[in-house]
Order: sequence, then structure tokens, then C-alpha cells
Amino acid sequence: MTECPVCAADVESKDKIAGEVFPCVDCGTELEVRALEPFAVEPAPKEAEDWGE
Amino acid sequence: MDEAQLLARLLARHSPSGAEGAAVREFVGIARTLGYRARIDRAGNGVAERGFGRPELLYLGHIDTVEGTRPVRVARGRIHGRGAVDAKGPLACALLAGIRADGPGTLRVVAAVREETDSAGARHLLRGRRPDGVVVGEPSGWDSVTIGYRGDLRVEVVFRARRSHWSSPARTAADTAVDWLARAREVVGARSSGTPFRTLTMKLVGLADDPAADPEEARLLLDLRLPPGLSSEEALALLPAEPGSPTVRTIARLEAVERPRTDPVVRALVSAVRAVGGSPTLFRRGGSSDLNLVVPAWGVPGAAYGPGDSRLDHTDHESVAVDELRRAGSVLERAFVELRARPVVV
Repeated sequence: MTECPVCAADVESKDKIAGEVFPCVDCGTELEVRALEPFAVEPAPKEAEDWGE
Repeated sequence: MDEAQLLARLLARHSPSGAEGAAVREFVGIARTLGYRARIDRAGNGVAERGFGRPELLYLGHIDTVEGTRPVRVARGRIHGRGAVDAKGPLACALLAGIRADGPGTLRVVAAVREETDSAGARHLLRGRRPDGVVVGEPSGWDSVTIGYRGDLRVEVVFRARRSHWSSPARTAADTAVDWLARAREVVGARSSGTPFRTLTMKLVGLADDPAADPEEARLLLDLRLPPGLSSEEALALLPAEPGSPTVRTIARLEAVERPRTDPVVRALVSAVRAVGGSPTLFRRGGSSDLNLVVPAWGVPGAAYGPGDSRLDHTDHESVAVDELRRAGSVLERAFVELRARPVVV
């Protein structure tokens, strides 16, 4: 168990895997599992595309 | 020396692909002054190293630029000059970040040659030691990390036809080439779905004909950008065999690359952007870079990172904010420390 870094809601670690991206059930922020022991999450990076190099 | 001063020294040495010697010597001289072991390898790359043994982390920048000089100047907090964005800015940041990022193992910062043409510098590195992780030095923006590039396939398609009187019903080689191109566009268009990164595109980048030759000839130069999941071999097979039964010659090919967000190099860069106060974005880009070449060949973690707006690449407006150089330097310093402390062994 940990807290959502945006709204402080409880975030369950059950069945989560490292790198998994999931929404916070309270605020909807996309969270990413940074570590399992101890369980830690952070807002997932945004994703984008462009034509450059 | 700060990032902007170092960059200004690199920009002062004009270095279009194939004529990088003076800039590489400048890079090696600066690196030695900063405490690196530095040398020029057989391909002409500038190589700067700190530390010994594994893990070995490689920052693969490039020091060549496209043709065309631009005055080197600082104005309104931005440094201007050919290569400021693509890609001497990233190289300058990495070289300075490296001396602040102590840790176990080896950090190697390479100023590769000929990235803009045939990647001869990076190809030479493939014959040497395989690192444990790679950051390719391309402009991603200080708070973004590039995790994917489309592949690139360049082909010449040659049509031949018997010479005939232009009043006759026979089709010229140029006629057939135009018909074939329309057919090829249909084939490519049928594969164009999804996001731009996952779309196959084709551009006609050159055409020539010689109606006086016997047989007469028409040539099309095509550049195809390949999404992940479509190899250059598969793309070649898509090209129509008719009309005209042309000869297709491959000029260059580079496969697409896409790294997962869990890649240790991606994660280290993302964490570092956050630590410097940014909100990171993972970019997939339609172009290509040496990341396409080295990460699949070595099978190691990797991503591309560096300051600058890649939309300014190759333009006459190449410039980068001094503040962005400093932030990118801080991001690289933190990422280097994390990657050296937590070996990315594969």
C-alpha cells in the first residue's frame, strides 16, 4: 500500500508488477509502479510523437 | 567552463559530415582538460573515457552536422550555430555532466562522425566493446526522452525501355516510372493507419531520366519510413513488381527501434528529469538516429536524450536556450550517477 502522489488516495500494491501503468481510482492520474519492495508509484510519463530525430 | 561555453567552442569548428577533423580535435582537447582519457579512434570519432571496468555506460553523441555554416552567437539567452541542436548541444552537456557523475565502472562519451550520412562512426563502434547501456545524443528537449524511432529504407528504382518515337503508342521509361510510383503509393497508403509513428510513409526524394540512353532509363529515389514491426526486408517485398519490372537497389536501410518504458536507461532519464523539476514526456519520433543502429545490434538498454528542439534540426534557425543546456546537463549528471551505481547488466 502507498499513497497517490497527486491526491494522496490509498494505492493497493496487490497484483501489480514493476513498470505497470494504471489509473488512480480517486483522481484518475496515470500512475506507474516504480518499485515493488517497498511499493512505490509516481505519475506515469506522458507520451507523444513527432516527426523529428 | 559551462555548457554554453563548451558548446560555443564546438560550434566554432565547422564540421559537416566527412570533414569533422578540427571539431574532433577540439572535443578531445577539451575532454583532456576536463580530466578524461581522450583519443581519436580509427573511424575519426572523438572518444572520452572516465573510470574503469563495468558497468560501461556509453553516451553516443555525434559531432558532424549537415552542410551550411551559421554564425555562432548568443542572443536573448540562446546560443545559435550550425549543430547547436543537432547535436553538439547534447554532446557538450554530456561531456560536462560526465565529470560530475562519479561512480563505479566506465563512462564513455563519444563524438561520432558521419551520423548524418552513413553512420560510419557508430558502425565502427559496433566492432568494439559492447557497453552495458547507451544514451544516444540527439535533441529530445531537456524534459523529454526519446524511446523510439521509425526505420529508414532508401532505394533507387530503375526503369528501362526501348527507345521509340515519341509519337508512337510505346510507353517511355519515364511514363512507366510514373505509373509504377502511383501503384507504389497505393500499396503504401494501404498500410497507413494508426499513429504517425506506426505508419509506413514513402517520399520521392529524387528522379532522373535519360531518354537518349539505349535503352532509355528513368530512376526514382525513394525514402520509406518504417514503423516498428515492419522490417526493411518486408518493406522491400511490398514494392510492386509491375509495371515495368524495375530494378530495385537498396541504398541504405535502418530498422525501427522502440524501447519499453521499463528500460533501465529510460527509467534513469525519466527519474532524472523529475529530480530536476520537469514533468517527463516519452517521445516516439518519425525520424531515425544511431539508436536504430546500436541498440538492436548490441541488445542493450538505451534511449536518446539531449537538449534542444528537434524541429530546428538542419534548419537555418538552429539554436538552443542556455538555460535548457544547464537543465539537460543536470539531468544527464543524475542519470549517469544512477546508471553507474546500478549496473545495467544484460
